[in-house]
Amino acid sequence: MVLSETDLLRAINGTSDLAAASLATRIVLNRLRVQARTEPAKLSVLVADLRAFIAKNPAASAELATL
Amino acid sequence: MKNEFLTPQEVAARIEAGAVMSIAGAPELLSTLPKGNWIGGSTVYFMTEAGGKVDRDHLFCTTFPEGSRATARHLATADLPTLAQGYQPGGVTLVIIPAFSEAHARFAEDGAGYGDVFDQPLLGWVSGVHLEEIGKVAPSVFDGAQGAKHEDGAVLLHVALPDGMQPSLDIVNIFKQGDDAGLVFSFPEAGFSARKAYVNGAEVDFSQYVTDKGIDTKLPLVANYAGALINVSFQSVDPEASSVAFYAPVFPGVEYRLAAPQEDYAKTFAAQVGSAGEGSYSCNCILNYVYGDMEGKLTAGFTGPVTFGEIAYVLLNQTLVKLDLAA
Repeated sequence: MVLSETDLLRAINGTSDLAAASLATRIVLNRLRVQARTEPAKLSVLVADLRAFIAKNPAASAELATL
Repeated sequence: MKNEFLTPQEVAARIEAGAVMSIAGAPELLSTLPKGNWIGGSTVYFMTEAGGKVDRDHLFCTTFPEGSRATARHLATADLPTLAQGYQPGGVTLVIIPAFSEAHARFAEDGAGYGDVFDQPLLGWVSGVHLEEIGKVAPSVFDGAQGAKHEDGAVLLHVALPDGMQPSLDIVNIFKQGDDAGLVFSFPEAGFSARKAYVNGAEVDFSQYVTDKGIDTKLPLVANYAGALINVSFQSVDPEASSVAFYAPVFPGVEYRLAAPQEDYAKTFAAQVGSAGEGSYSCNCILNYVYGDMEGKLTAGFTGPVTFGEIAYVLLNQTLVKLDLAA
């Protein structure tokens, strides 16, 4: 499953829980959400970070798609 | 994985037979073990099959399945950001860090930013001492490969699992965010202590606030990490110094709420996990042991060291960390 830029932005800017996701995905997403709130100018970097995490952790794609 | 509470002689025999092991116990016992595929950390508190206990005569051992391969090593604090460079493909990495050390602080505040740290399960614990020895005896960790004891840095066991074996890392946190969902705490700076906090956005002297409101500091602050509840436990409150100390760092931008009270830790834990735990690698927090009066009580089938902090990618408080392996 390939997530679009819009999907990744929605995940980072959202507040929904990832109830069934791995602990790693939940911690990574929370970290990116906190950074997005405190440093909104870095949003494109954060999207790239999330895409890099998904590339190494393919299961995260399906987990994030539930948001 | 096999969890056993063994004599040092029994553990030495396993090590010499080539077992891949994580070992917890009194440092004077760990110091006697031969070199091998193991790491260790100091503690005298354990959750055993017979319940919570203090023990200075046995070592708690988790042995990885036959066919596992491992590299044990010590990493200096300055090198912690490189810890994922030792990850074995498809494996898991165990880490033990001595409490109150520089490594403890650095990992807690910076660990989530280390390169590739989330690429495989990273779990472990913070070693401790008997509570009466705090300030007198330094917690320690042991690198089995070198047969060396350390009071700073981290020991790592990078485990390559047998083909087809899948690891699953998770946490069990019996604490929930309290019913007063409108009471939100945040902090202007990262750290193990705070002078100022924001309560629903209004700045307060946090130590004075905690004192005035009579907050039960046996209950942690709880943050919601996209569905994972992450605790930060109170260590001390000092209104005269306008300071509140924690057992894990708070972070700016994170919203914390007070945990809901617990009447009985063991019962609540059992209700949450049922009879699970046998064959899992796990560790649990000294604060749960003390506040939950766990001596002689069980945490379902979960056995392991009682620790001064738990690690599941990041430093945790008042939480059980568990690793399961499935063929």
